Amino acid sequence: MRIFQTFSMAMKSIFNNKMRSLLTMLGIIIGVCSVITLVSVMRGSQAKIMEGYALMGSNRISVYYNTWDGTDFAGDLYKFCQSLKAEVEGVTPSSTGWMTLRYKNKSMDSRVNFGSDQFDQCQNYTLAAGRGLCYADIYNRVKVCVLGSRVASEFFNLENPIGKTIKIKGDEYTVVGVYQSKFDNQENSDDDMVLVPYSRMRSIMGTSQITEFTVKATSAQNVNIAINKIGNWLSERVKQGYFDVYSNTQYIEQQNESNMMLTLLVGGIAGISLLVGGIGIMNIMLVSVAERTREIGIRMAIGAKRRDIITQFLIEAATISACGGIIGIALGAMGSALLSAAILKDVVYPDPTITIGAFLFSVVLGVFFGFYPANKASKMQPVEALRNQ
Amino acid sequence: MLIDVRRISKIYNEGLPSEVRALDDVSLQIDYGEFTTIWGQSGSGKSTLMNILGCLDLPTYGEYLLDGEPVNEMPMKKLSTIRNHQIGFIFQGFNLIPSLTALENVELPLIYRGMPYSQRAELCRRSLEEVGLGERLKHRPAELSGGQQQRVAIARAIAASPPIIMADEPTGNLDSRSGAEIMQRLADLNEQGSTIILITHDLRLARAAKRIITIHDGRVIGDEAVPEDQRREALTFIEPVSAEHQGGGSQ
Repeated sequence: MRIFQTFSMAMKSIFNNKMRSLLTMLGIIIGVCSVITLVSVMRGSQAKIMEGYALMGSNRISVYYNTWDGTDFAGDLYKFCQSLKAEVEGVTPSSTGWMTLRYKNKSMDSRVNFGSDQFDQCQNYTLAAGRGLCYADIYNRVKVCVLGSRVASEFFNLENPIGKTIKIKGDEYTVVGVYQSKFDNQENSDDDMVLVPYSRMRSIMGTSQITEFTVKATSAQNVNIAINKIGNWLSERVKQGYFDVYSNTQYIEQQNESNMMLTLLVGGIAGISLLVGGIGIMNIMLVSVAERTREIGIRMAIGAKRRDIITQFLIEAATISACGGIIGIALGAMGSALLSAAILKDVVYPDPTITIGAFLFSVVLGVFFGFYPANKASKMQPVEALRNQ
Repeated sequence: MLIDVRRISKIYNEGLPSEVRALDDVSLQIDYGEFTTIWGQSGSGKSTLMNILGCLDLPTYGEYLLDGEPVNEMPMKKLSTIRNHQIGFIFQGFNLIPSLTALENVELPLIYRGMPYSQRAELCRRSLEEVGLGERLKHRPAELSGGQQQRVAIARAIAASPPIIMADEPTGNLDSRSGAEIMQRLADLNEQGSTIILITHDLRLARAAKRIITIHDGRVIGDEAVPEDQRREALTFIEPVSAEHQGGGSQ
């Protein structure tokens, strides 16, 4: 028998029992809807976190050591890093300190970064105006600074900050540049800072020992090579356990992995409701087969083959679950848009892969759970089925 | 020989105290183009016999050759094909599918045969017109009277012009007028060359056929030709009603 005929018969049977079909679909609708909504929102939040990491800069390596006896080989480390031309793009000290900054009668607490001329590329800052630090600033311990966008907007608002002076620990620093905003000028974010040459550290912090560096690798592949080389160099000078060389890519990968696990877990839990929906289909199909025993008998008596009967009930089950799947996708798209707007302040739509996957899964589920009732129907003996009233 | 049944038995619950011999050592032959009645009281085994002749059921013992081929050895699929292509059933309880319209019910055997819509729709419409239901194509069985439902069942049985038509108490649930129409229709079909097997307990109807096989307690106890005058009498008995129908159209 032609599939189209079977399909139209299945549709007829579904429409003849509207309420029942809808209730049967409900399980699939809820299942598909919750899988799509939860997975979309999870992915949205993951994407948001990753976006944050991307703004902080990729291929970054953090270097930290502590000698206790005060031995300072920051200069040597700096030179060593500079010598790794193939793997290292830039290196900057990443020591910081919280200071009160003043401009005219305004004051604010912010983070002071002590950096090198390669600070911008290492920490992923982009200049909005003016210039960054240069080697001469550091060499000559010039009192200049580059402002993060939050500090710039707090102090200068609409004024042009370039050329103005702000006070840090009593000294006046000339503003030579302003960075673009990365995090909407949020407090404590990367925008809440001011950069000064690291050679000014002693006069601000009272110490010139630099124990933290940020190294920017030339590529993702070179991150691990650079980590190994710097680690080896440090292990010859610093006791094991008193230094650390690590990359945030590793951390991001871990984060990604655990996020993925969480998404799978949540999706799996939602998937259980899909399974329950599938069992609902099986249940209703069994009832339907029992109710239509006589009809099956008639069909067999006038020439339906086993295959025709199986196909009819399978298509019926698959159609119910596919309809449920489509409705579930529509509700899931709305659900993920609403939920992500509420939680993430950003509208996330379902990923096409997830959508198609959920749809196909619901059809497969219908076929899977429809098979037992369909097979049962097809195994009836025509005479006995006809006897059924 | 179209139907050649050799010593068949149908035994339910064989070997148990509740054993029932619905058919016991039955042999009979029916040739192409015959109009035969299988006549017996209820419980005589005539419906069981029809189920076996119609390939809906298999005998417990014995051999059944349909058109020279042994039915016992056929796989399910082949039996379905025979029911679909060779036999048109008219059941006692109409056996229409309630969710389908008259036209769709008539179409069903042809759908299973794989006939394309264009061909099938025309055939079925004509078949329904032939039984006087040309105006009722889109009606569901529940919207039709008993006589009309039985005529839909006849239309379904004859739509594809199968060589054999089996009718099990086709007038059973009908008033005498509708019953008469249906008997006349069967006689006409036989004139056109179909082999008709009528199953009934009503001797008056039975005599409308050319031959009566009498069955009692699962055994064939009589097989005789109906004398032409008796047959004419049986058909004249119903003729005035059917003439009225032909003149007056459908109800």
